[in-house]
Amino acid sequence: MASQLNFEAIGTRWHIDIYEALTSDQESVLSVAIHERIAIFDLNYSRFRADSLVTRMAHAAGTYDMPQDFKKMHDLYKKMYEVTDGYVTPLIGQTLSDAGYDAEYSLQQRAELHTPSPWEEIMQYDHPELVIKFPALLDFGAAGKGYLVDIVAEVIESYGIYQYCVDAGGDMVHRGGVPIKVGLEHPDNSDQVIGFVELRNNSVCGSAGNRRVWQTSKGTMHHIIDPKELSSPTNILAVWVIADTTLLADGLTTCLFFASPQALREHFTFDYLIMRPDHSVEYSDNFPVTLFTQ
Amino acid sequence: MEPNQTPSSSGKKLGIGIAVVALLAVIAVVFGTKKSADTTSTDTSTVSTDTTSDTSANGGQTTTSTTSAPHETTNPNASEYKDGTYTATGSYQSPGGPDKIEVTLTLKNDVVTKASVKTEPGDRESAYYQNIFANNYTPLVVGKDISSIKLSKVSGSSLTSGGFNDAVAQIEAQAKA
Repeated sequence: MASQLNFEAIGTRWHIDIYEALTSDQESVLSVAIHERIAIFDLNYSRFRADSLVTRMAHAAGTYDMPQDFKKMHDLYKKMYEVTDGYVTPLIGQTLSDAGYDAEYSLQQRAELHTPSPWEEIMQYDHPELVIKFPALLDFGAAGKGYLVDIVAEVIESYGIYQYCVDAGGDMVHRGGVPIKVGLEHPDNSDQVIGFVELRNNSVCGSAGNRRVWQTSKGTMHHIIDPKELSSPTNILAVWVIADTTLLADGLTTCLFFASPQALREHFTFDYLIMRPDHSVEYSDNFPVTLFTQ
Repeated sequence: MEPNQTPSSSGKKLGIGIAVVALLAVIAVVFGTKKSADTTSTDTSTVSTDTTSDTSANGGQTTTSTTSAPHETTNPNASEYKDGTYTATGSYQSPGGPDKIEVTLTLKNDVVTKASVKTEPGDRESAYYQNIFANNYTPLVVGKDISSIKLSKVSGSSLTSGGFNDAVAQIEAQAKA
């Protein structure tokens, strides 16, 4: 017996598989708890919402009392910022928005693009307070969705359920004894996969550079913008990362657009697969993949 | 949505050229990357006769390596290399002592269908260099229809944002109007 919860939230499809028997009452209680938790996260961290915490920070400097869940996300972002020499930064929010990746998905460039300020000039975190020295639009798109997957998993476990898969639009965590087969979507054709991985008791996240593209004065943009070049990197067609947490896996997919896997592996534990624009693929030794070739 | 295209024969030729150059560059760089240039031995002859690895001493600061692609052939159907799996083992001197690296290529119709690099971990520095190249590399992956494979899930990015895709569709519609 198993249960499945399917719904739409934070702009993506969620599929939650519970590999344990639940009564319909348990299922609806769990469903409500998950929805409430996602709503709280969205209200805090979505730069697409006029009433969110990050939108307030974009309008007013000051000292903000941050939610409990901020520390983990902050700490990873800070480390990613340092390891990638500033290429992965939450301060990219304004640049993304100006380029057209905004609350309305206008996909129309609305202002000249600027390199974001250095982290230290804008903010300082001393748990639980975040000091915003100058108003800044923060973007937690690099790892936020993965983090929310982990948080939803925590909600599920708080009900004593330990065998499940939480899948938010292809970024997912699996827990349980039976591995699942996860296809790696072909970045050029969403009806196809280039291979599959066996996922068991860890997380996989994917990111593609040819999806969600639009035109700006700086050329074709996708959801990742190089904060120094102010253009979108084209060295990677798609990338997948497997790690212990979805937060880490999600964040590292963005890091890999800016830093070599070898450099990142000196600081983080993960496995990866990178597909280049010429459809060649490289992956780490323990990336549990079966690839399709000729 | 673009159909996944099967590369043409000439595309494959180009593919193998790039793949072999990349692989040989890897081999050359691995073998060339060392602090003292006087004790290197390389063996890449089983892969391509065009390969040259110049690892002559130049003060131990840098070493240069050059590789070249197999010659383009006017007959795209003629195989230049016999199908099969080729393995080459190279040894090089690192500050921590001798280290070995093993490169395996599988060729079919002049296409590298599989490539791998095996290393024996040596001292820390060579472990670092070995780690750089100890990736698994596949020169050309192809798509298979999702419906033809039994999968629990699919990971990618097409599903990430319904709103985004809607916006693109709207803009396209506006552009056509």
